[in-house]
Amino acid sequence: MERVETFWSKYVFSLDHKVIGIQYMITSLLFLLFGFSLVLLMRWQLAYPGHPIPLIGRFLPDFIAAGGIMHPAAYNTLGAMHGTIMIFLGIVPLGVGAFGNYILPLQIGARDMAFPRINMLSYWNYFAGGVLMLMSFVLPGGAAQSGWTSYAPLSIVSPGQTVWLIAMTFLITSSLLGSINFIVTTLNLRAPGLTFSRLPLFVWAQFITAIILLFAFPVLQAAAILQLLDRVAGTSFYLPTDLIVGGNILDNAGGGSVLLWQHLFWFLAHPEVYVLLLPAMGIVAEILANGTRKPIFGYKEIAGSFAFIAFLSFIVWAHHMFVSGLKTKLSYLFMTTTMIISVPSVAILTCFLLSLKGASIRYRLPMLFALAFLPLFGIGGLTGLPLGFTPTDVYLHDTYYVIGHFHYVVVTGSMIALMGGIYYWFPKMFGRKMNEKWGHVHFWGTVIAMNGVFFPMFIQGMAGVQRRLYDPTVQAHNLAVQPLNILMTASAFILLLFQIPFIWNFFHSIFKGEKTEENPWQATTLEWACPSPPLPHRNFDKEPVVRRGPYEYSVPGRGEDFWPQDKP
Amino acid sequence: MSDSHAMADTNTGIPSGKLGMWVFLASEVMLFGGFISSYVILRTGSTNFVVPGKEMLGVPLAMVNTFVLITSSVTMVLALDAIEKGNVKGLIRNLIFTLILAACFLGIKSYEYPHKWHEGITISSGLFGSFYYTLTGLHMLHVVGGMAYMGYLLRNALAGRYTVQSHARVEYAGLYWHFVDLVWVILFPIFYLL
Amino acid sequence: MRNVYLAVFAALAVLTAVTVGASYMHLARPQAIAVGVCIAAVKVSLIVFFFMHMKFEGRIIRWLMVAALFFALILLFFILPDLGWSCAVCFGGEGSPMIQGFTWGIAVLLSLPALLFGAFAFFIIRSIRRKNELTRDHSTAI
Repeated sequence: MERVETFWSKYVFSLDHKVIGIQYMITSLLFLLFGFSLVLLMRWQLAYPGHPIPLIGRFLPDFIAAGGIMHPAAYNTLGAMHGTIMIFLGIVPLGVGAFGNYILPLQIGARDMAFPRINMLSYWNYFAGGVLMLMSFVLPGGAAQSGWTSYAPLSIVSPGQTVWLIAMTFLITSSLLGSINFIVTTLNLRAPGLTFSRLPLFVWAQFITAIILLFAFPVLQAAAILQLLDRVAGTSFYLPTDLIVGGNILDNAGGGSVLLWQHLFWFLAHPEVYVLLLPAMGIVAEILANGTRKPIFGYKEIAGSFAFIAFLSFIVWAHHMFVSGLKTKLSYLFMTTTMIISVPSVAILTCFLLSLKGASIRYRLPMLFALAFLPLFGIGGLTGLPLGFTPTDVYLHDTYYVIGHFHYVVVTGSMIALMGGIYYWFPKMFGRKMNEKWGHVHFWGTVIAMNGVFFPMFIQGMAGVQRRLYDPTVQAHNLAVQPLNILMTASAFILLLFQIPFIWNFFHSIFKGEKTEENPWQATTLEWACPSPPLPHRNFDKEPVVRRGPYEYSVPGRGEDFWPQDKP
Repeated sequence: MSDSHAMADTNTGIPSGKLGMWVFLASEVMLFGGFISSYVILRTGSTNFVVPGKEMLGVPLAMVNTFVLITSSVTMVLALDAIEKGNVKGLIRNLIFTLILAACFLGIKSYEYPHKWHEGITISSGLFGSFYYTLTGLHMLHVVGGMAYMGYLLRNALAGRYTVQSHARVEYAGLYWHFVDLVWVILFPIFYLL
Repeated sequence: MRNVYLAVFAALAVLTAVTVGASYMHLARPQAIAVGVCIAAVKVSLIVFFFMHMKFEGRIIRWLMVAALFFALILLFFILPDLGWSCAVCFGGEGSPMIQGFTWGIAVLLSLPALLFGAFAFFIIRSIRRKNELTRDHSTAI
């Protein structure tokens, strides 16, 4: 039965996973840009503490920057919201919501997700949560200012946290609805012949990520509800007895534990970082196989490593709590599990590197991003080791070293991979290619500028510069490395500049890009076996039948260097 | 032979709706698990956790309430059993019973709460009260949601939309409702008895 | 089937009465918790297996035992007296109630994903195997 499509049902409340995927993509890219601009304000403050913010300083309200000079509480707000927005409104919706939604059904040969209406609800919950987060800036009390980690008791007595907690509820709901969809779709809607051992690694990554989210997020929801009640209902889940705030003893009944929040929070937040990583690694696998014209080295090992990482990610969380008063023996335990979890990560990177051996590399744009991922994620991963190792972490915890580490893995790691994914799948989504020349400009500028922003952080961290510090010059030992802040701030602004060609390229190419055929990259996986863009609500003309593995490139004896999964 | 026991046309043989409901319930287990483990931590470890005496908790009434909810689970499974045999009237009758029992559960709770308030057990009077109202409150929200679900089923059943071949949503609602019952079966001892 | 359900109902009713009765017996805390948890576990199993339509068969028990044992061993390793009881928070020093509290709480929270995942994996793989046998089409193997 032909459904009558209105503008609203076709573009706004669509049930088609492809439309929803694009909605996620554009929304998340906008949030990433917004979160980035927040940190630019912070970077100005760090490079020139106490100096008025140029150009826009006089337009900012007094409680943010009186006379253009940033207020310390505003700095904390920017920090907390930057983290929250980049993680929950940026990277996860892009990696999971956008790419997962768009590509997963295509790669398994399905017509849509198992639950299209829940898919739509998932996007709108995300949207609602995002809007609420943004609105929190202008609501009474302002936005959250206790770090994205929202540690008690600061988060309970500080303004702005209530809306954060409510917005997180929408975001967690969105995530859980998405997880259910991804898990059931991957289990139930695979095309005939598509066994688990023939799944593209991108699908493995998304499936395992959905499982992580399913088990981890509800615990944060529980923790957030308890924190909300502490704030508004006078409970004391996280408030110890007779806590003194601002010189007065708190009225609450007490008896709670601040460490309870930390344990519950990190029970989610550690697996969450693998949620940031796995989809990106899946994308790199796809692009590498395609760009090297070889099967990925170690398919089973990579899939197994994804699963092993997911399992281990639930038992390493307290490496974020080494200085919280954990006794040595328990620290040993978490240090051990953390060291172990580095093994599958290294295994995956090694397999990716070995995939390059003997390859006939096509240096197209997506491949550039995938190649850049390898050494940059390597740096991120290696710098995690001193943090997982308790004796060194005691020194490095809460310094800029940590910030350098996680930005390397998430920004120069995941974000680079996600950008590569955009260039790679853009032709499938819009039937046109993005402009190569501007893509090169974007690529080189981005990679160089990113390193300029984040590499000096390791130096600062080792010098002892603390994080979440509004004015680094108040501590004498920071002065020697303070000039690095100017380099980092300049690099950050340059990084912003180099995103302009990307933004222009993206939107311009949707309408005016060079038209392309079904399979412009000559790839083997199923998403390339349907029109570009795929048929609305159907994707494939006929249901594909899968006859071989996902990366049958350069098969000896065949004329072409690629053998699509579904061709006879 | 009913719908749910035949193999569905999916890779796993399990209908997507059923699999989806189970996956959702897994996330709910983790949600309640997060609360319950927090309760375990603070009840065992906090030096300031006052547990009210049994007399103040109203154990007999809560026991009755537990029976009420368990019975509603039975009527729910009987409802499914009825439609699996094509007995629409049985389905409708048992759905109505389930709804009535659920309402009874809520009614008893709405008597219990003010009673406890008078005893001085409020959400902010201490950790026990905080956990008690948070967890039973969340559970009650799930009961209300379940009742809405059942109302939807009842409307469909009255319109004759369920048959021997096609009644999947009745089964899924049943899974959800048994889970709600199951959560209460755990909450009851940890708050009232231990 | 109806008789089975009524029988399960009777069992649940009896167990509820028993658990309430046991709570009046003034057992020591560890015993009281053990009794309460055991009875609740039995009731939960009855609901899951009979109302939620999963019945016991020989191989299920073995599989679940293996999965549960595996994860239990991991957990046991984590909460061994030497490692686990030595601290999750430093407020009270050795043996303080807070340490025990955190240890038990963490044990509960960690056991849940393990049990859930084990149960799901078992039932889904079993269903896939059954489906493949029915269709006898090797191209839809897992």
